Amino acid sequence: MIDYLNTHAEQIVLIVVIFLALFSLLVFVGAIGSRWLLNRSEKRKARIRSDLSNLVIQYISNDISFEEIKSELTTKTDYAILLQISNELDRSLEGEEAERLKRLMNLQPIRSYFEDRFESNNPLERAKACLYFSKKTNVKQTLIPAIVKQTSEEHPMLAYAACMVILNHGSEEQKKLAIENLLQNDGLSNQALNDIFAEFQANSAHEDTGGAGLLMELIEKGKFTDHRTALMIRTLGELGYFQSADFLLEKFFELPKTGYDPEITTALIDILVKFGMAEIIDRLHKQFVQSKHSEVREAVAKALGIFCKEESIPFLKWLLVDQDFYVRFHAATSLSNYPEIDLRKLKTPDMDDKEYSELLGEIEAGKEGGY
Amino acid sequence: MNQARILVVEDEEMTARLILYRLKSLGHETRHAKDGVEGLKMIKEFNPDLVVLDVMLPGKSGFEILQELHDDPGFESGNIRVIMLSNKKSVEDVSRGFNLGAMEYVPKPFKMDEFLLRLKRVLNQ
Amino acid sequence: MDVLFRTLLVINVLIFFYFIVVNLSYISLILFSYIQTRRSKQESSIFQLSGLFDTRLYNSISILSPAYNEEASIIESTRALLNLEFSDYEVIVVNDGSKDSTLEKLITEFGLKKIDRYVPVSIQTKKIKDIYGSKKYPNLFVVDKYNGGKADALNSGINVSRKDLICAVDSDTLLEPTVLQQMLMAFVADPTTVAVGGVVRVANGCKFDLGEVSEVHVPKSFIGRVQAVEYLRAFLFGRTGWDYFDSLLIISGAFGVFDRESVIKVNGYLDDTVGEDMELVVRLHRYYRDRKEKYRIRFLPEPVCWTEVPETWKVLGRQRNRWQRGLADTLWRHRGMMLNPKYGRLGFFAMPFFFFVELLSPVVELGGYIVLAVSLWLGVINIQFALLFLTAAILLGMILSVLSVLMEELTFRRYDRLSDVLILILFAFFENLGFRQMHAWWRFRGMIDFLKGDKKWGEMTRTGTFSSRI
Repeated sequence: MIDYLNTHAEQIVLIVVIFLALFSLLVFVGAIGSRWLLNRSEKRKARIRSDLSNLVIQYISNDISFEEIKSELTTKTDYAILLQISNELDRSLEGEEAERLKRLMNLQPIRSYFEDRFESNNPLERAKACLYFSKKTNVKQTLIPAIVKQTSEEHPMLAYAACMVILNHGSEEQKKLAIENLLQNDGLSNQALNDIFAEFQANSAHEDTGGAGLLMELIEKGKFTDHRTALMIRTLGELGYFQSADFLLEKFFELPKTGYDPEITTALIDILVKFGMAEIIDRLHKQFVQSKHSEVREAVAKALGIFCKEESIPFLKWLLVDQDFYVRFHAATSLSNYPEIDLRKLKTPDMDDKEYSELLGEIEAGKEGGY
Repeated sequence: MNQARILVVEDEEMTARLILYRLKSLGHETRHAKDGVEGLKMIKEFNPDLVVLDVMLPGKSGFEILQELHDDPGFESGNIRVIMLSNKKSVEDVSRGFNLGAMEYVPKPFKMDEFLLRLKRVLNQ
Repeated sequence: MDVLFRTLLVINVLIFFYFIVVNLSYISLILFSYIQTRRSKQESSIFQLSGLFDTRLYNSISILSPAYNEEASIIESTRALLNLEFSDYEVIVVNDGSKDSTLEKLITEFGLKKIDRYVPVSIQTKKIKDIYGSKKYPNLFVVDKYNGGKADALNSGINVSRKDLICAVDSDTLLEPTVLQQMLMAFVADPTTVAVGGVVRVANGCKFDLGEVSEVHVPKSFIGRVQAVEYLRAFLFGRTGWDYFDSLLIISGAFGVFDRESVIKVNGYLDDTVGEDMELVVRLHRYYRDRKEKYRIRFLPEPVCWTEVPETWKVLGRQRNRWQRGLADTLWRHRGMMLNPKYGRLGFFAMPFFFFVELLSPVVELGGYIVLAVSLWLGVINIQFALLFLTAAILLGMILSVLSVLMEELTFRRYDRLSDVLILILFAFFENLGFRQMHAWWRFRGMIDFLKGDKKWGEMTRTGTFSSRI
């Protein structure tokens, strides 16, 4: 073989060089060509998008009818772009315009696109389909049980999307099951869970304490992580049902002397303060004001300022020289709530001059601005 | 409503288009800025009667714009009315908006007719 | 004499075939990368197309930015990090015992105050002096600690972080605003993902505005242009190609997102190696494969970070020397994985490839030129063979580089002007005439330095590419 190479060496090299030259030329020409093509296709898409946007805006403003806009939609690209446009608008609008938008989203090509996606193997595609279903006014009843099953899927996006559907279209039992499944999904972010609870709340009749009841039940079960439990406590607080205050108070007193979770403790303190449960003050003084976790001390500093009891003053003064800035800030703010206290007189020699006056300045500005 | 000069500073294209469309059909003269820096520039150049200001903007945020207008000595910020429009609707954000001089704060998602009503109210003050 | 001639001839032939094999396998790697890039684009379109997924629903991220004597650019780069389009993330700047005014500048600019944040010591690091927070920027934290090197700084950042994922960046990289969303996609698409790498592109020559890239151009200098082509080939398509085989060995230290718990499980970055970025990835692979647990390490070609590349031969030489030492070090530490069927395609295919192709190639290449010259002079081989040899070594390399430019045009097309494309094609030639040989020499020196036990980092001079209004 070496002899073959030797004799034909020059030809081989020549071929390679020619190939290289042609190849490079091809790439360059291709670059020109593809940019031109791309330019054209982007211009076309931009034009379609512009036209469709105008149509959609006119339609939802009730200046053209559903039939009129429907007749303008012909190609697949049209529907794809329509979907994009609708999703963008959907995030900002509610009320009448949003209702009209929903009708657009219910058009046959879009609906079947998503119904097909629901059968896909890819969990993300199924999640996409579920999110679409959750926004519709009606969902085929036959799909519901399958969607309930998806809430226990490991994939967080899929579980989230499926849960959203159930919260809008499922029975009370199904809703409870969906939420419980989601709470056990570790991959889900706090924000996602907040959304779920908000949706749940929005979909329960206002006399129904279902949301609060469910949360209390689940917190009692205790099979969730500390992080999740703290989130549930805060959500319970946001729901604002006074009945949950006693429940949370119980949980507060159940906190151990050491090894308590800072997130749960902070959540409990913040929420119980909101409910005005002054019963916690004693324990705040005796135990939590000395917590090794700065966020707990911060919560205590804030809490004592709301209750504004005489007995808390020495504790707040102690927190005023805390090693964490935020604790000091909130302690100072809390002390400023006491009419008989002049913050300027509280400055001790070991405090930082500049910082203290900055702090006072901020608090005053905050009060003026109505913060 | 009398004809007014209205500037919409909003980076979400469709939302901006919708608002501009409705305002135009009510007879107002409108302009659109897509980011904070451009928005600030246009406030100074176009001198609108009313600004519909989003908070989450690329470049400068809505709050930063209001702050700068307030701090700018050569600018009469008292004449410009501002409606804030935003995804951020916590108590802190709303009060911050009002403290910086906004007359209305509309959280997203919003109802179009309600928005227009509040806008009308601000214009008539 | 005859024996000498025979041996030389055989060596020549072997090296000749070495070049053919290496270049051809690189070419096929690039071709596979094209397939993978298409796949990746399709996947990302699931997210983009209907805009149904909100970033608020994704995992949370901590960006770790280690800083040592960065007073010139620290404010700018930190501001840029605070401006990313993502809802739940924090920025942790770790001041690794800087001797200049890095910390002071940060304190003044962002109104930092000392806070008392509880830091679990998940990984052992040099002591942390203080942690600072800012009321105006509640997601910014600055960790002031005793000097311990980049790996140590990153590890303390990991300790301080309370988010699900960490993103390690260099202080001289600029992330595009949507980068976090894009990187997150991999984690959302497959929750068993533990690490994701993104693309590093050459910032020199580009225009930046408001912390974002506004115009993409090739660098103005020869050395910059050559690197532009190289980055396309090696760091964009090369890595994507490896992702196709699910055997990604390196995630650039300039930009990578990791699952925080997994990194803690393997005990963080190693602090006595210069190749700590690659070493972590290989260790993650090893950890999960040893335990036969499901995991994924991915490379995404869409998320882009921009970095300043060296503009002088001296600094570039030192950088490449360091990279070679890092590579050698990692391969040596994990030599147990090499050709070990327990580690699947990674151990059997990727690691040996890196060893024979990436690691040994400078030796083979330089040796090859010398042997060629000697053999030609001695008459062992004739001109024709020498020509073939050079074809295999250089011309094939040129084809490879031009192929990378083609790939770029077929997929991302980030270079705005046609003149840039033309320059890239031209430099695909130049890359193999002179640069490659110099590169081989630097890497050869790197090997020697590694064998001598050199662990220095060397300095990087900044040329202010990112100065702009932010």
